[in-house]
Amino acid sequence: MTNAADGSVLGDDCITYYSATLGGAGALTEIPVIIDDTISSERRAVESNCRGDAEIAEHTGKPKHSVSGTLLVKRGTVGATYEALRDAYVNNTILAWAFATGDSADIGQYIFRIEGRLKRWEETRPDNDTVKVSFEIAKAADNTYASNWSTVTS
Amino acid sequence: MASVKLGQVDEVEFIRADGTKFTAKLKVVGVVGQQADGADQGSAVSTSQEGGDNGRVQTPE
Repeated sequence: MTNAADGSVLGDDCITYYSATLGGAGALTEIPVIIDDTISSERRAVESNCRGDAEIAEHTGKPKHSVSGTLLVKRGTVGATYEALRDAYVNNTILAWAFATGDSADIGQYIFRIEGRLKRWEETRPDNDTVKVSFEIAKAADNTYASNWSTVTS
Repeated sequence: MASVKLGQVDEVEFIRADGTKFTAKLKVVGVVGQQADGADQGSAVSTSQEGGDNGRVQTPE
């Protein structure tokens, strides 16, 4: 294995994987073309307003993850990945997802893993040759796999 | 939540878009709900100042 390039960042080289096998045990299949992967996390919060305080503070609680991205497929030949993901959306199936900062064969890449359902499937079909599917993934409530970050060690 | 611990190493098989396969070892460096010492987090609690609570809002979890 080679080392990840210094300073590798989320960008063109990011790779998204999925698996129908849950629990972190399944082989992860690359999704060919995904752009604008976004891993959004925000903690529940409530304002703390104490008598005598000079400013408002916030209690922060558990984080909520919302992952989004855009899948690009070729019109007329959308491919097996598109069909698998579309079926997962239609059937409300939980999938394992992995978002890597680069080629996960490279030591040092970071990978975020979550198991969840496709919450949103927004397919746009502009003129030209590309179909764009903007999607959002929500952590599944009936799944106990803890979302996690890991790094490739070898 | 179960099944994932900080520091655990998973041997994961990846399948590239061209069908080639490889295996990588992933070391878990961050888990939702776990701190570095393994303690649970995520419960927002109220702390009272000496002399009693001054009406601080508590967060139900």
